[in-house]
Amino acid sequence: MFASHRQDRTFLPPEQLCPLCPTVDAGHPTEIPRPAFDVAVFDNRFAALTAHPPPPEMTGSTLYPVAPALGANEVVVYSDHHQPTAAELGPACMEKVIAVWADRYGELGRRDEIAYVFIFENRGEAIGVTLHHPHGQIYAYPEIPPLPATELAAATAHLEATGRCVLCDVVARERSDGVRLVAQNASFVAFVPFAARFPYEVHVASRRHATSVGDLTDPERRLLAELLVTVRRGLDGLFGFPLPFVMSVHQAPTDHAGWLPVSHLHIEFTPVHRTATKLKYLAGSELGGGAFINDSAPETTAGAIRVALLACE
Amino acid sequence: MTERTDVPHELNDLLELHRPKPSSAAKMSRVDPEVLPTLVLDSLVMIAGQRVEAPVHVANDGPALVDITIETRFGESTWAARVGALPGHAVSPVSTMALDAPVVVGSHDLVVRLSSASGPVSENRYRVHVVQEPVACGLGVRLAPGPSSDSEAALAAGGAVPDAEGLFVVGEDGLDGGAGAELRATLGRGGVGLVLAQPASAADNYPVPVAIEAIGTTWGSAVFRFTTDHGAVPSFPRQAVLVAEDSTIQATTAVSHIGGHPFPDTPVIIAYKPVPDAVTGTVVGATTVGPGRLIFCQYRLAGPARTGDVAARAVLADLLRWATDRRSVMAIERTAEPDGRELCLYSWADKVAR
Repeated sequence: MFASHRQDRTFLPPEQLCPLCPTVDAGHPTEIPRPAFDVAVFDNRFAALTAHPPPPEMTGSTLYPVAPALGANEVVVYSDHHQPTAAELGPACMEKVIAVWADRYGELGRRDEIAYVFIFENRGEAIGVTLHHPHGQIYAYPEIPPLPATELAAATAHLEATGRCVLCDVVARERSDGVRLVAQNASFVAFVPFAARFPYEVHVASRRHATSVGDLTDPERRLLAELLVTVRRGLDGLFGFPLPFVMSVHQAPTDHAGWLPVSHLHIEFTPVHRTATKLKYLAGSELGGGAFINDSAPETTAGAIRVALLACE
Repeated sequence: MTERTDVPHELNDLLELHRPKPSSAAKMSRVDPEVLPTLVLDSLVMIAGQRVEAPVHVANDGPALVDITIETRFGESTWAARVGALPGHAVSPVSTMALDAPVVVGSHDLVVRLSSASGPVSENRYRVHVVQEPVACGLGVRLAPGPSSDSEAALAAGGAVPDAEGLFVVGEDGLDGGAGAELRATLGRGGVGLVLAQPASAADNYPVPVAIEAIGTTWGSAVFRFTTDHGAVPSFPRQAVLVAEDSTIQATTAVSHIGGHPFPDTPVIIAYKPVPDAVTGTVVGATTVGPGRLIFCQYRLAGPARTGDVAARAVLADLLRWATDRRSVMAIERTAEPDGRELCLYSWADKVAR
């Protein structure tokens, strides 16, 4: 996707100029013209994908096909507080955010041109965050993006070979092995994946074959919120500062129902730190060859996150 | 696509056609395979961890098959049996499978897979809703006097206890003039009233104008029942079409108008009866009546719940919980900003019976 207009987007403004805070002075309106709110969603001012995109600037060909940037980019603002406390961003807030995710997944997924509703959060300047106000984003793509597509292809191959959902098998294996577990509850399990790309990568998966956030019952939403907050607390406890990460929701594409047997809801946390002072850079093997080299065994880092969680209690 | 059977006007694929992204071709290939393994299940609602046993049959519309294996899987529990040869163009009972329902509540696929030596031949999936073993709720209820012995027994089986100050419940077929007056008074005081299934003749006794219509079909064709996104009754999956013909709980009527509107302000389960005389109505829902809230359920729960039916007991427990516990209810305010972009503001309020 090309979106050259995004070069001009707001970059790390001071708190008094935060565009995601409520509007308290009509002379300085923000993106949310209300004095207070619980959770707000709006179309990104610097959207890469829109419902009515201009035609491509270039003519495509078989070798270089082009298409309009059809879709949607939304911003999900978690709270009207610019710097909420941990309690204010606790399970009750997360449960509301999950309810909003479910609503947006349904709303955007119903649009004919949308094939995949990708929900994510960038946290921390090391990730490239440009606004510190707690928020996430939703990219609604006209096709399934490469990483989920790769996952779905692998899941399809596993289903054809075994008759089972690969992530159902992974969840059973992680619960059985236990060594990579970070935390779990009645409906969800958090673990460092067996083939983690980043040292402190954590996946949160539903214990049943839930296909999307829209598929969760109210009690499941509550349990997911609790576990997401637990994982964030564990990651933040590792080095004594809020760990920058990307949190991404992987779920069923919305172009047709045939994906449901191979779509298993899971949320991936990918922190980029490998120690308190060192980042995991994507270098030759990762960027050039697409092969990740991880400096730490998942069993070790899962244990470290468990210890961090114990220390938080 | 709407005429898969020889029954006139039977709209088997209506919902599929009206959704923006139909997958009718995939659905057709799934529902009309040459070989189909099937299970004889008593219910599609099960208790977490319960032992499930069911006869397995194979419908084979093709030539004879050899070296056949059947596998079933339900969550992490699996079962398999070697069947050997299967005759062609016949339905064959092959075995009785046994496995454990998942311990994680929610919707799960119970998968039946038929394989030969050369690989998978056919697969069938049953969407089963797994619920917790209903526990005695200990909730105080005030049952309207009337011919509601089944309802009284069902509530008692769920652990509800008589309480003059408790939740006001009108038992099935119990909404006579006296119960209606008491319901009106309860709602007038800002209370919550739970009205279990009533016949069409009881419509005049509701505290708001109500029309109750039969949803039985002329030719026995399917009535579509589906859930909304409302999550107050978690024993039902969200936004799902419910399998009705095999269900252990049934609704023969639906509320087609209430308070001057076609739907209550909180519809949970909608029913659509196809032509002739198409009817759309609400089977489970709640609506505001003055300062009070009226919850109604046209599913016939009392008889099955009294005798231990899992689905009926789970739904009844959900309704009692909904009527009494505060829950966080989401509201959405959508506005278009001057530059045309949409802003959605989500807010929550803790309320009873919303």
